[in-house]
Amino acid sequence: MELDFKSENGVTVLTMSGRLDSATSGPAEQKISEELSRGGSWIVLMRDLEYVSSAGLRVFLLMAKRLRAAGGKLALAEPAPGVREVLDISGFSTIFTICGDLNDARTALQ
Amino acid sequence: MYKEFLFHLPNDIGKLMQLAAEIRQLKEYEDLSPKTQYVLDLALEEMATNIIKYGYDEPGTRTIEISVGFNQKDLRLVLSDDGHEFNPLEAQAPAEAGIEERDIGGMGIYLTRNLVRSMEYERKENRNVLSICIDKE
Repeated sequence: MELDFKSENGVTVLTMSGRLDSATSGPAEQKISEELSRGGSWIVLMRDLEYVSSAGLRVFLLMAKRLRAAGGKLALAEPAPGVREVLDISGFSTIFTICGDLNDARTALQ
Repeated sequence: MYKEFLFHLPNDIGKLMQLAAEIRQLKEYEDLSPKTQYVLDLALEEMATNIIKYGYDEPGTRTIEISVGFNQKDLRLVLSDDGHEFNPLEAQAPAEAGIEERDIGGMGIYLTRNLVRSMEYERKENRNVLSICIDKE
């Protein structure tokens, strides 16, 4: 699991790659938690995220709660088909903003 | 041609994820489509995590028997544990709720049930035996 954080104009793009599962979600949650103090709005770029389990979904829920409390927004961008299906079945597609590409996600945050 | 692999997993999440990585190295696994691989990974992780976290009333090392069978058209994943009686087919679906109220409890079972073809449970000789069938797509 790799995490890359890039902030520009008040928007942080978190690029996640690899597998967000029961083994990796704990360390990922901790790292993201520290970086969330940047504030602003966030986009999670999921193009290279191969796999998310329910342990991984928890991480997005936590991000959304923290950002909302701080007045920021969250958008998820470019989920691959398997991840997209999990987001759909879990009902997360209805409570999160999910965008087909990064530009759409930037627009959605404005 | 049917090929089955049998594993003995201690009740430890780290060991479970090691086993999952081992299964991903099997030639039979590599031949599956990405979609089928995803469903197998998810079913194994969610159902075994559930047993490890909630299945036992006392601390201590226990063993979960796991078999993965590869058929021409489908896969069979069987988990057998000696924890307390628990039928995941009777578990409640997670409630619909917004971000603030959303609770992730029960989500793993719900996701698995929605992605696999069938799931059967029986309590046999003081063990929970869960048989999951996954279509090859």
